[in-house]
Amino acid sequence: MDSATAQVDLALESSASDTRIMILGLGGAGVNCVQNFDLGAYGSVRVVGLNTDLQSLQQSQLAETFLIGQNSTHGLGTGGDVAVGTQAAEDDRERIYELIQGQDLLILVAGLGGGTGSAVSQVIAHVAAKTEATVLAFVNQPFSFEGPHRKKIAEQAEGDLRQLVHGLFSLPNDLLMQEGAEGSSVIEAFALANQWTQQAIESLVVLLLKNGIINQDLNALKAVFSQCGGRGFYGVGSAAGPDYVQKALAQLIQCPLLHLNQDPHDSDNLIVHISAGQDLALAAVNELVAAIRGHFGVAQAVVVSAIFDEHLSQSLKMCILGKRNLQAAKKDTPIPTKSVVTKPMNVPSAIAADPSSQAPVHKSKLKRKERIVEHQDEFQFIDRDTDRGYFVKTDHNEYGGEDLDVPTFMRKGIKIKRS
Amino acid sequence: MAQSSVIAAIEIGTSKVVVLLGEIFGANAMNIIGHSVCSSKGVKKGIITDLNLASDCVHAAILSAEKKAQVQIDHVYLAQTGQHLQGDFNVGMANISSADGVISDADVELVKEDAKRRTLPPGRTYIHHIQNRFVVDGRELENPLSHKGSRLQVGYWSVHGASKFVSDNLRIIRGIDLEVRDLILSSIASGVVLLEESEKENGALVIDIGGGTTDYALYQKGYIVKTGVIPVGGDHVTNDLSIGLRIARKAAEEFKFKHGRAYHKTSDRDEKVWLFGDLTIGDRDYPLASITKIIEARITELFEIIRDQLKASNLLEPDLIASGVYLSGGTARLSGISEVAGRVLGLDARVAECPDDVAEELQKPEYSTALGLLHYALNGQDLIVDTTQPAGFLRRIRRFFQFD
Repeated sequence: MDSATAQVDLALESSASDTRIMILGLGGAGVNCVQNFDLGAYGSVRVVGLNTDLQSLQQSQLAETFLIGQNSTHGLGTGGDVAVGTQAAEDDRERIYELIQGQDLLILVAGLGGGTGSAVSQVIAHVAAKTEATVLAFVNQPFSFEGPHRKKIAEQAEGDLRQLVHGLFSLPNDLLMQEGAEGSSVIEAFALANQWTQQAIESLVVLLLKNGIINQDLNALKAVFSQCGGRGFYGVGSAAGPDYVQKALAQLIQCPLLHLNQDPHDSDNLIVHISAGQDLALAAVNELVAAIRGHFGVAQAVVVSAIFDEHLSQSLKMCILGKRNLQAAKKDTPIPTKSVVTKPMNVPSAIAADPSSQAPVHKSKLKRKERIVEHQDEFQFIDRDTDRGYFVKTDHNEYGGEDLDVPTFMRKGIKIKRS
Repeated sequence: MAQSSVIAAIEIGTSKVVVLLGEIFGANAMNIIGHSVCSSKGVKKGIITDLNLASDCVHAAILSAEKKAQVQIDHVYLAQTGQHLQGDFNVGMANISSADGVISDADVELVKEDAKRRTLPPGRTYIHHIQNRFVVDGRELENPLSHKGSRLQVGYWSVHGASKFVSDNLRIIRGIDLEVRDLILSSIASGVVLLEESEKENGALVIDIGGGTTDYALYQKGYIVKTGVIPVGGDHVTNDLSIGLRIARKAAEEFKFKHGRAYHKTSDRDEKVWLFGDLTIGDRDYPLASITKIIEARITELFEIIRDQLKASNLLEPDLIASGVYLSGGTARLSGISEVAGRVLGLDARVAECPDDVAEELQKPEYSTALGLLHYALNGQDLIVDTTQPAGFLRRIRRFFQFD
């Protein structure tokens, strides 16, 4: 069966590329992050840098830039003041609406803690709520050493933004201290953060716009990120050379992004995206998905997408994205309603991931269009105390501007080697 | 109390529920006639997060202890912990009323009332009023009665907590139709059992590091002058290891006690430890240095917080804490922890030993609080806590139970 799949017709379908995606880099950090995106191959993707600071926009290599609040800040930035940032964005509400209208998917990228990213992201999310677009946000939390003031702004902004977007993915910069080599510079650390964000966004774009062995479209994404609020998470893994499938899987499971407080275990929905060379056997895809399913304890609603990339051979890039619904996690009793299993949105993914029914990989787009995204009932898995993000349900443990529940070594930037 | 009565000491901890049953004979003799330990559910950082889950396991523990000892519990002494507990030092003052300046009972009552009259904001309730030494015209006195002077003062360390959390605790015990005789701060309970009178006199700091909280009580000149609760405990060490090494909590918990040390040594760098050590699938090695660095950061920070809190109250005087630090609680079993405590606090530190007149299995540091509750029930309350407190929240609760 695995050899037959390599013969799948890769002819382009035009309908998929109709999905309009806009990636917005907000504030200095956001602009820095998005300017390296190499998504030129996908015509319907627009990458736009938004800032209150004219200089930052001029220095960026972005083709499309958008200066916010020219009347209030005169292109000089906010000086870290959220009120200034909010005012600037409010002044330009209509211009922002013109910019983002008509998009199917909006991806916001921002560093929180300063004036622009923290404020503008919320205004854009507000404006976007009036459009049809699904809104995802990738945000960075400042380093602890940047001080409690920025931390507070960032946490406030993240909390507010979470309510407004369909999926929010937060990356604490403190984590970067753990990652770079010993003595690595700040620039290297930020480059790594950008690389993670980039890989996740690239996976999303590829998932929606490129055709492969197992295709997904915007509706599949909407099913996972159907409601606002909740905690999003993502993780990436890639490997090449002999044993690349196992290596990529190991890397994904070890991905630091999946080991933050928001534990991906028992998540409600999961998107698994795999980009690989044409030499990847379908059996290997099945193996990967089964391993991920098992490892993260996701019983249902795994959306799988697998894409052939002509540049890849004997190598693999993987990304998982998902969301935990906070309201669901608060419920006391597990209610695994039957209706969830039989919801139309779950059927295709269940077939795709079910080892007993791998045959109909290539589906007609007509059928796919019939899929309706319905409001999904909340459900929850049985509490597994040993695997839950442990302090999730308790109050914050503030002491001297720091949250004591966050590991001390992370707050103090002590580097821990794992091998 | 001609007949014997059975009391239960209950500690609803973050990691486990401990129930000890003691049978009191006569004035001051007690036999420990049963105990049970259940792993806790629905409790985090010393606070009940899920009342139903927590009730179930407390009730299971009580029933199992009753069954083992074949007795019925008469009433309960309950330990209290959690970040919501706070303390204030209040000083009461009274001018001696009699013409000859001899201090009478009435003066003593007056000064006590004065020290305790501070009202709390709504939603908070007093748990303890711990009396300190009397001062007559600047002279410190154990008992001022029939001494001469013009002005009498007394200090109280008053501990109060959020009514909501306190009543959650009471509701659990009440759910099984038992009377709560008293609530006792965990750190005070530990102090009662771990310290000799002479050590309290010389000054000692008891630090009880449990699963979710760290409770401390500072004794100076025989009196408790400060208590505190820090919502950090062994769970945090486990969580740090689990995040830092990306291993499951269970494995992290095992690492903590099997290979963990509270401080980092340079020689740890070359040493490797195995996750399971049995060559099964998924077994892998980790640098010992990573484990000790993670633990050192957490434990050092914990003692630094205590140090800073004592410093802020001007109480960290090594001369007045001559007996040093006594560590107890489950996390006190962590190797090297007393060295770190000693270094950070600048005091002698050791892991406290429970008295050897109890069964061997109860001598572990994690039972000190429950044992302390029994001691307290037997004779401790006259020694440390003033029982003449005005009718407050707890009194009312107690009355409620009795008429129930």
